Amino acid sequence: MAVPLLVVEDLSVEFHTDEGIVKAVSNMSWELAAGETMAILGESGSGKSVSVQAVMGLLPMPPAVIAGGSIRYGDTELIGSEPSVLRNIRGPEIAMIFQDPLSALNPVYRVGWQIAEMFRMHEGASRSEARTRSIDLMQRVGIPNPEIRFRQYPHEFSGGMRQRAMIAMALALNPKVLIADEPTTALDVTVQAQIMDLLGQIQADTNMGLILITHDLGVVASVADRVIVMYAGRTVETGDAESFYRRPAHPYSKGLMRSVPRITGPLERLHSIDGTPPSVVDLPAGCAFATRCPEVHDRCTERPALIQIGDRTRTAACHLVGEPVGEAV
Amino acid sequence: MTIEPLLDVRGLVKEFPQSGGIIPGRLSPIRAVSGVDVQVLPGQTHGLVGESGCGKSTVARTILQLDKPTAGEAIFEGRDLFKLNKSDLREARKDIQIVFQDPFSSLNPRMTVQSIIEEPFVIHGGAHKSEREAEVKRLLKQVGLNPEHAARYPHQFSGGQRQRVGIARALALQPKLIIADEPVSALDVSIQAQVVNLMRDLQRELNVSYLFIAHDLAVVRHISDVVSVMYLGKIVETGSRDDIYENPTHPYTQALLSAVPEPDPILERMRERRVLVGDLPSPADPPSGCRFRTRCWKATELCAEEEPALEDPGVGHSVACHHPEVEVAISSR
Amino acid sequence: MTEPKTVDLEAVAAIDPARRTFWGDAWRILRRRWLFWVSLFLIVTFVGMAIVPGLYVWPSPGPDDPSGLYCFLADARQGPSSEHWFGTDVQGCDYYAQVTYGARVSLVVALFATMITVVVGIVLGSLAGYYGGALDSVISRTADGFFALPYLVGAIIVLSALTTQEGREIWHVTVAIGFLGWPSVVRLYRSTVLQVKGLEYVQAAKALGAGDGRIIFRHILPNAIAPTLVYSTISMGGIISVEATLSFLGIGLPIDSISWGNMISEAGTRIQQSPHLLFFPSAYLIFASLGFVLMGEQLREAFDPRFR
Repeated sequence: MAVPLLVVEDLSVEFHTDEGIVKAVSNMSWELAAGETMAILGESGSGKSVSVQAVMGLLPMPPAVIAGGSIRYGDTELIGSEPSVLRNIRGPEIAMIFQDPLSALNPVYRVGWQIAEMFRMHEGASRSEARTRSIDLMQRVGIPNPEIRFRQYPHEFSGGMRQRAMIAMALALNPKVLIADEPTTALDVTVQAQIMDLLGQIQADTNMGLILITHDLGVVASVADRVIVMYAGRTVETGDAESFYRRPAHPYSKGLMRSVPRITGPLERLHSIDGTPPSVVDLPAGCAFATRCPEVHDRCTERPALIQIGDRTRTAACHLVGEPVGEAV
Repeated sequence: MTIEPLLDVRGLVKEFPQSGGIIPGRLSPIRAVSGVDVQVLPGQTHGLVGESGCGKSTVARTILQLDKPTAGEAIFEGRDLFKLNKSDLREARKDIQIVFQDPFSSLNPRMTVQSIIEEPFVIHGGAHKSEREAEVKRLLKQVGLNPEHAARYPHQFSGGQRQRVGIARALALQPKLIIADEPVSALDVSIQAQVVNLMRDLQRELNVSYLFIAHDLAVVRHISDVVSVMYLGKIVETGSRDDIYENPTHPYTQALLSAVPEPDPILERMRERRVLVGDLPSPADPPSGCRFRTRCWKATELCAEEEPALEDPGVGHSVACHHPEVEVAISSR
Repeated sequence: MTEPKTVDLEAVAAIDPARRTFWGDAWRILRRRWLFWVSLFLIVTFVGMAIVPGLYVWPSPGPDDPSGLYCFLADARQGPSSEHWFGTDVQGCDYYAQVTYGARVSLVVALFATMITVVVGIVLGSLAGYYGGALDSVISRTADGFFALPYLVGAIIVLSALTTQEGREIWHVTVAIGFLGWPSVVRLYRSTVLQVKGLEYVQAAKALGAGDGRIIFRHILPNAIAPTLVYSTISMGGIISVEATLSFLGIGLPIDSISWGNMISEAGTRIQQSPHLLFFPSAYLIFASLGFVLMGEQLREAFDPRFR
């Protein structure tokens, strides 16, 4: 693998609330290389967004506390760095787009102006230069009639167009890493496909590293190179996408995969995972999935480490994966 | 069809007045639903799918008369719901219940689960306090919740559990029809499957009918007997589940199905995506003729001039298209 | 991994979801704030003063004191002393007793005026918000009309309309203040009703066949009342001052009633010679008013999830 752009090591994030300490992310590690697409998968409350919010410095502190670990971009440690250093990394080097583009765009400014502002603020471009470049960029992200759209306000854009505008803003400074947090969740299925295609195509053009955060196993299946599955703040499985989707190893990943309703294939009763995720305030000492796991056994009272499985590209945090057990049905 | 439908909605139209403008009433109203027919058979599920803004939720709300319909009729057990007087409507509402999308806003946060589920009994009279308590316990058990938790408040439950509470409330009066408006779209995948399975089990047990409204075609496939696809206030294709998923004929249905991502990278790469261009036109100013023509790759002049009727082009189910693709199925199959 | 050092039993109770309610959450927030305790202390002190002033004033009035207010003409207009903490007024009455007894009228006026505004405001706000349409237009435009009217002008008009030949009575002032205060409550409550009305649980109740009364009182009221409660607590403090202003201007309470406003009004003419006559009722007025305003602010923060 190439030299990683962004390295997260043993990251733990806690929220200190009235209700107690919420361990939102526990000991998470990952690396992202240029040209790579990594998907972080998980259900609500799994902590999938928190790790990248820590990268972007978007966590509200307090109540959030980075309890340990490191986040490195190239040679720079982001945790505890000077704000001036971070400003040159977050935004210009690592950009982010969000689930709800309406609340991420400022409603009182024209969309074009908001994109142009990126050039003016960070690169000191002149008014007309910023305008030309913004219109080029809007064209590139597939906004039709960019000259007219440049002068419109966010509410005059549809959901899909707003997300394109957000992508344009994120791309303005040619970032090396783009983080997309549930970029298509608020969009209709036909528009979802358009946005995923756009992201894939931009990544191919620019060779940037792309992190996709989603709860939807389907949306990222065609674009992800690597997958991280999170449950209750912990990484439960990592691996290359193709072999992960073909054969998920962790009982949670397996259950999740089977509970996705399909538009093809046999119409059997949907598989469901019984119970609900544990409260992150009060995580069990052992495996967090033990209470819902169909394969639970004695050793699950110990917290499992990530164990390598099969070829070296994959790991899973389950006591069972290291042993030669038959494929569970 | 020989079986008498339980609910037979015909020609449903719902217009919303447009606010704004200097002179009130000058702007023409927005037609959210523009002549929709839907039948629900006893003990079956009719799935109504479409993207946001297509008017599917408005159909639900007008049938229940949470919004007053502009035109059309809804025959339920031989009587037109839209013509009932206030007290008859109250009676009819015992038989038709609704389950909402948002498990957080659909339950009154100041009421215990006990009082939420027993409210139908209180409103419609009858049943003493002890009977009601027993009934609530029974209902909680039926939807897979712990009957001991009746004294708790909604915020003490997870999203999936709240949706079960909502279902229990809907079941309380033993309705014949439940209108479920996006009942699982706010839930996590693993929980979504639990709720879909619960609804199927309850249907088998109680012979209740569902009008199941959703944007997720995959979920609809797992629960529906009949499926209708809506676009911009109209139904563009309707047929049995197999008709719609095995033999989609309207270009919009095909595009919708081809856009549904599958959790399988290899299959995804092999699939030929039919990615629609552009966005949904404004329902305030729908395109002339066929409403889908602005995004359709098969559109011709005819489509702009004449509105296609919803009829069978020889595929065994109804399609509103001048150029139906009769034999082509999506390529992943 | 860091563990909390001591086990806070309350925090444990907070984690157990079975014990959490809306009011319980608000209470947990409130009791950690010193301003809440300060305002509670002020309110309890002044309300107590209004209900049983005898607790604050001793010894009890003797037989040689027919007014019951410790008045001895010979001692008129003395400054504060160990015998008369707040000095005496022009009648030679003990000013501490006077100011203490003045709490009752001031608070009674404020309480009843607030009740009028809240009841009228909620009734009209419910009608306007829930039914909308023409009813809403009539109510909202009337409220707008009231807003356009300068408060004091309005109060003068209402009070002169109410005043009969026998003179003004306490309830005249109460009604006048209440009459001018309802439009703000209507506006506030109407907008909360509009928000709550659209929520799905209200729709669900409708779909169950619930009548309007049930929806308005069982489903909307409990969920819409909090902002109005906050507003009326704050406005209690404001009304205490309004009553004083009206009395100061000579259009308020009857002159013979003992209220802070009347005391301030009377003291105004003698400010050079006897500043203590102005100082003490003003101080009480300010602290009583402050108590309610602070409490209102604390409640607002406790009820509003954004502050949590």
